[in-house]
Amino acid sequence: MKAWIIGILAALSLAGCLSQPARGGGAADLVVPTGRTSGLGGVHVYATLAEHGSVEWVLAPLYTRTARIADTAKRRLAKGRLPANIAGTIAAQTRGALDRIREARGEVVPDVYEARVAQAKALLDAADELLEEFSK
Amino acid sequence: MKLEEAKTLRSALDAAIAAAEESGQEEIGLLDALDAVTEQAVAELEAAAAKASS
Repeated sequence: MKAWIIGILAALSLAGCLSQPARGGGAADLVVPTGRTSGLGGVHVYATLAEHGSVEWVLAPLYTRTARIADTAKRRLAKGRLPANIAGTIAAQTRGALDRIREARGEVVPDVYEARVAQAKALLDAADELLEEFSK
Repeated sequence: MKLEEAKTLRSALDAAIAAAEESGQEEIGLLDALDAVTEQAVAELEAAAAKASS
């Protein structure tokens, strides 16, 4: 019986049925292995990054937020409303966020992808807090 | 999304559309365009902060 099931799954897998992503736009075309197996002959369980939110619609706002923070800090620095050392800190935070976003773009493991997104958000939250603090 | 972020998104999308039309591509590299815009903003802040600190 088990051999039957494995055979059917293998046939479906070869036909591409098990690796077809759900359609729905965005990053649904990306299909990545979860690293888990079904327990039936080691057939891979696949997940799409779209299940974790469309890649473009998660990363695009992070990019725009990073650019907005960097641009705001630069303008405030030019007007003398932001100390140079704080601007330097925000520069490092935005650079770090940009690096994490780039890593997330190239990541195929959902857990690692989400960790990179969370790290970028944390850096941007910290930068936004500094901007807020020095806007008073 | 804040207004400035929306403007960044719009300008990046405009740039991506223009590049796609010019090269005859059917798909738009929105994230590539946003990456370029963001890299420029961060690099300008780094340069300004370094100059102000010196």
